[in-house]
Amino acid sequence: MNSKLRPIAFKWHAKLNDFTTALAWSPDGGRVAVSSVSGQVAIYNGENGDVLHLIELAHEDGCDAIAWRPDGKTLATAGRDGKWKLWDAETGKILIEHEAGALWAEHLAWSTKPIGEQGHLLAVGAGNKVTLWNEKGESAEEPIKFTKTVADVAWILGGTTLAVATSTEVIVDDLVADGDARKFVAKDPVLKMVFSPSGKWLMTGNQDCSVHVWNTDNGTEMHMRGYAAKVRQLVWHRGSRWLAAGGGDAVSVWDCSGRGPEGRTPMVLEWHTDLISALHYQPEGDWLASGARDGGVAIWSPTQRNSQISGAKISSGVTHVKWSPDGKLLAVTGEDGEVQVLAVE
Amino acid sequence: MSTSRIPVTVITGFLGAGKTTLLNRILTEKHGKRIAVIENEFGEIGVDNQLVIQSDEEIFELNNGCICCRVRGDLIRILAKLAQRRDKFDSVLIETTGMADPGPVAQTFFTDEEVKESFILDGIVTVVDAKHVGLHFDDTREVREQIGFADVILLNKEDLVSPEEFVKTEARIKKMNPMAKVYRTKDAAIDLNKVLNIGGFDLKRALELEPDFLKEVEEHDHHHDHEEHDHDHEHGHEHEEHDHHDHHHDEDITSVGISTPGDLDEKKLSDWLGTLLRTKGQDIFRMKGVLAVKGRSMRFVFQGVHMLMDGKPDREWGNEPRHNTLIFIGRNLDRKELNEGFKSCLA
Repeated sequence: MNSKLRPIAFKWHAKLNDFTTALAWSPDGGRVAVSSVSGQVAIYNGENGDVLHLIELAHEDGCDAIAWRPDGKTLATAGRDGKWKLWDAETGKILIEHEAGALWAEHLAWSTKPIGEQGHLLAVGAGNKVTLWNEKGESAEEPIKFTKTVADVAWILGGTTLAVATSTEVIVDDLVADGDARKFVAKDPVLKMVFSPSGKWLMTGNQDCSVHVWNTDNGTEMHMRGYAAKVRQLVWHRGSRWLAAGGGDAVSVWDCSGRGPEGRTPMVLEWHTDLISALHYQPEGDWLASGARDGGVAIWSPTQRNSQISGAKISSGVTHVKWSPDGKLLAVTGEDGEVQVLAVE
Repeated sequence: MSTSRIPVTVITGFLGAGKTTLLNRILTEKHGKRIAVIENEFGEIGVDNQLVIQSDEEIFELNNGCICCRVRGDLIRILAKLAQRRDKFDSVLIETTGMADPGPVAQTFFTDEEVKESFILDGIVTVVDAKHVGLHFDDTREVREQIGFADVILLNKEDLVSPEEFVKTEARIKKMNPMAKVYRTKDAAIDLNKVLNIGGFDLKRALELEPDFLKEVEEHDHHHDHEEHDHDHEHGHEHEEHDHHDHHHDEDITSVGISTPGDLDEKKLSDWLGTLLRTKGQDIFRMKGVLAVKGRSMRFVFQGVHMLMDGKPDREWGNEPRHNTLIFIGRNLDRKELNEGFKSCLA
């Protein structure tokens, strides 16, 4: 192990009562929301860990997703009761709840830009449906039905284009401009979908231990196979050049400049001793955080010669790592409900 | 590996055979267990306080083009989420569609590391409509496959068929799959201990059904001899009982039992089995056996699905005569080749 690793300062910690399913910093970085499989949702003060709100049973049978509305005033949650709910982040009171269309509501994403008079739209993925809701929580569009279960939902490009991945395809629909949705056929069963911030590259992490890559400019495709495990983690560096992937005990970082990753050898970041379970790049910086099932948390500057900046352990397998918007604090959550916020000294 | 893996029971059967009736019975009986149900997309059960998740059949191949590496992506996703809870479920039931291939369902539990960590396939229960099975036998490959894969077969709707018809159907099913326990039921009424926690894939219980199973094996060998060598009265009599259709389909999905005393040569056995699974694994649905290997004081037990095999020494032979007993269930199995191949492994 590298002896020059920089020490970690543990800022605060908290604990939910079971496996943490989602983690999100409020857009202003002042608060952290965490949910658990027991149905708990907590909102903490990001600086000192004070519990601002603790909802004991936001969703019967577990909460699976949380998403801050871009203004930070409300928090949307979705869970295994088939519902999505909107909470007032100030008071912790529920504002609205709706059926999402299937027993498990698993995906939530707010458009990063407002869409016409509707304001920011919330996309909710449940079963093989995606429903769209406006800022007040009213239905904004007809539900979109897919042939297979929705695997991932995101707003891409300018923040008004909706991308939905099912196990067999990725559909991209610009909700502002006219025109047909684009469809990318995935033969491999998709777990995770990411677009480069530039919009040029679409990648899916798949159950068959591969990454499927599309150049959306010219439609060319490539497959990166040979991962040791399912690829559930894919994250882009803000510059659209570097893509980091899990899929084993090591993190691989691909150079996607120019013609893309084909024919290139990725940088391999080795330190973890079990499967990578979480990845996140600093929103405005160059550091990459990784978490693994052995509880290890590492911080990397992948393009530097001695790429590992720091390393730490939490009490159980890592479920999520998320940088605060300013990149100064790293929130880490665990399989046992652990919530840690740390910083590199 | 965790010792507290959650047992999973797969319920298969043709549309209308009584899968949902069985499922409802299991869920409503007062057993105090927490059960999660993964139901196919066409399912429609609604039981209070029970977790019923719908899934669509998403089959994918782990290695390109290999049927034996086909697994169910939908199950992997759903099971991963179920495994997150600390107060996990006591058991999981998976109801397949009537047309589902049980192979990928079973293989999911032997190939996916994360699934294996938290779950163990306990058994495949196939519900058969005694009244209409004759029709389905003839034109539906899936019905025959589901019988071939089963650990337990419920011959349901026994009240709707004549005793003669019933005996005939039962005999035919036992010929296809002598390893399975066959129960006659009405409205899928069965003691839950006969369908849950049966250890269908458990090596320790690999040949718990030995007496029954051996009897079937011997009967098969008997038939085999007759077919091969002398067309005597008994064989002719068989033909009178079965119509042409029966005969045709019995040749499609069948079982081959081998029962031979003596010691096996380890190298020869491993070569033969390796080649067999590589070349015929697609057609072998299930296999089980107890083997006597030369120079080894312990019995070797094994079981498998398609190409996937699991085996280990289980106990000393002691004073018991060293004897090999094994069974293959599958499609278009070559009885002669399997017998000769196995016997060539004798030391």
